[in-house]
Amino acid sequence: MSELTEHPEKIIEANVTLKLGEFFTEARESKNLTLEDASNSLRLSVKQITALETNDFSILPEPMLTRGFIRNYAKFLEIDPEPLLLAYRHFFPIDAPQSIVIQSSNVSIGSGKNSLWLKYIVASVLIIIILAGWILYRDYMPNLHLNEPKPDAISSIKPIKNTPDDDSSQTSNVVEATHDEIAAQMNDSQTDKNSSQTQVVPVPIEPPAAATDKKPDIVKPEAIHKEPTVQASMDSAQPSGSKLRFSVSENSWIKVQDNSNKELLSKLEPAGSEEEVIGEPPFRIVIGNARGTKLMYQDKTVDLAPSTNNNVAHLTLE
Amino acid sequence: MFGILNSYFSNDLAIDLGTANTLIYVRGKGIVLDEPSVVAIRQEGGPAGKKTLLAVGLEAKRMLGRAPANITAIRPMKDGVIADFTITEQMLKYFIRKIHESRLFSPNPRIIICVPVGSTQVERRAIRESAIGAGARQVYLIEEPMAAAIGANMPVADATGSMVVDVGGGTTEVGVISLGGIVYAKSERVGGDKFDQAIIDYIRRNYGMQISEPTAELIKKKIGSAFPGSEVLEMEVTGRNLAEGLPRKFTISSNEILEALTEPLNAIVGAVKSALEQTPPELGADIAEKGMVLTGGGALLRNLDRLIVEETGLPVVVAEDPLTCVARGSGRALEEMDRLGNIFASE
Repeated sequence: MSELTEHPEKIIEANVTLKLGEFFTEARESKNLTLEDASNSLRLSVKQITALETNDFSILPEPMLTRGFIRNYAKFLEIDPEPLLLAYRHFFPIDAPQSIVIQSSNVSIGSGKNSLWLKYIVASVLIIIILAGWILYRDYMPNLHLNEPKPDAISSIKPIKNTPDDDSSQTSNVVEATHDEIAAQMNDSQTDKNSSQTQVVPVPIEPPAAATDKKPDIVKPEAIHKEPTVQASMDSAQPSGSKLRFSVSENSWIKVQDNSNKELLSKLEPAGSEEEVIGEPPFRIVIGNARGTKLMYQDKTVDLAPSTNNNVAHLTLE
Repeated sequence: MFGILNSYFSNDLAIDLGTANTLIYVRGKGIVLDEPSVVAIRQEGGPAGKKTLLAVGLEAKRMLGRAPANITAIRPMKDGVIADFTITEQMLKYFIRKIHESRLFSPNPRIIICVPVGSTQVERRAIRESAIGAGARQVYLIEEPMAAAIGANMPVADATGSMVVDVGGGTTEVGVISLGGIVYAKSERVGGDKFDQAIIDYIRRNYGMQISEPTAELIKKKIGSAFPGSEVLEMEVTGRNLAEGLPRKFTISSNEILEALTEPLNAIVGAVKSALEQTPPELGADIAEKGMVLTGGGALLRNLDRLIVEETGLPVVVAEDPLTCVARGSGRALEEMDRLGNIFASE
């Protein structure tokens, strides 16, 4: 170092492009320094100094560090580093910025199993919800539909009273009147009111002898489930209104629907009461307590036993 | 909804909140502000009076040591961390306003801010809070060695050891980085300020003269040296003679400054050595081959690289444009922040 300070040399040439290494060698030899001297001073390996002098930049680190090495070496040899750095630019014109993002496959470890379990759990919960929904729908939805009370139908049914006679043609009008808007009739006229009052038909407790007599004694439950085509012939033979009579010995729920699905009766009958319903057959009847109920259809006793399940009778009468 | 609007109207910022200088990098624009971290405050009407911000940055720095009694020039950062919270907040607010000039809405940017690696949780929280107080919508912290390494364009994401020594105004940060993370880092509260103080103390001790901080900084920049060089530089300095109490001129040489700086320089060398001791051998081999990179204003101290080469026996390279390395690095992180996650420091 002391020799260098005694002989400061100015070796600056513009024409150093592409002769970077030769320039270093020349400057070093003119100062009578060996590669080892340079290596000792710069703490770079002899291999790296040789690489700098032979323009072999492949074994040198990133351009940013190599430029630093060139600056340090130039400073050590007391030459201007700027033309040398310019020359280095010919080898590496672009100093691409180093990536600061680590390439990652982004597979998380540890949570993989958990997520699989989570998937199973979510899937099973979904299945359970769907099953429960289906069961609820199947069990309760039809009942809800059937249990819907219809106010006009209920208003048409009155408790049975002892009355002298019964006119079948009149009762058919009654049933048809129930199908219309009773409220509208009430507002319309007094005569309509009268007719609506006649809906409440007093029916004698005894079966009227003048009623239809062509019917068989007992309506077979098999006939209940007959198709409508068969019913048509039977309907033609019958008067338009048919009469149902329930004699209830124990509390029983009774529901009756006529051919247009109108509810003619839907209520809990107290023990010992009787109920008569007149409407258009076929009737769909549900009797909650089949043992405690006796059903007369067109004054014929209907056997409830074949259509009874668990003391509840579901039957259709034509 | 306002967040989206604000993000449209405010530029994201990366701030190198340094002890000596504050640099601000704006996304897509580069470094737009480089000013000293100095604030001048005027006290109006007695000690209980209102305080007003007189000047910030370069203007305020000129007032350092020259202000009358009612004006105080404050350096709110000390040793790399906040020494005066309110003033730092005001300073940041001023700088952020300055780069968002002629905006209808008050700026509400996302901010990346540098913290020394050795700063405590309380100090980091203070820096974060002051940035939020200055109007930041979201604050990310980045450790200075990481920012410096990115700014020096070192291969931080590769599986190779990169060592960076950032000598700043308040702290010296030594970090060994590999695979996008800091493997080992050490922070020493020694930097440019300690150099200045060491020069002031030396001159008072040996010459019986009192010099100001700006003069000490000037001496350091002109003739300061960390290693005996080939030439000896001299400089004429004016100070106040402590015995006479009068301004006097005297001449000081670079060798004396070298002597004055021995203590803080030893602290830096010690930090570098201890970092090398703690570095895993595989990364140590990488560093031995590639050397370490010096960044920060301290890297401009003459022959500091030479000193570290002699002390450690490893090659040392001074980064290009060392003063802005940290700001450029955090700016780079800002540009790619949507793809980065792990380089930001937690509190």
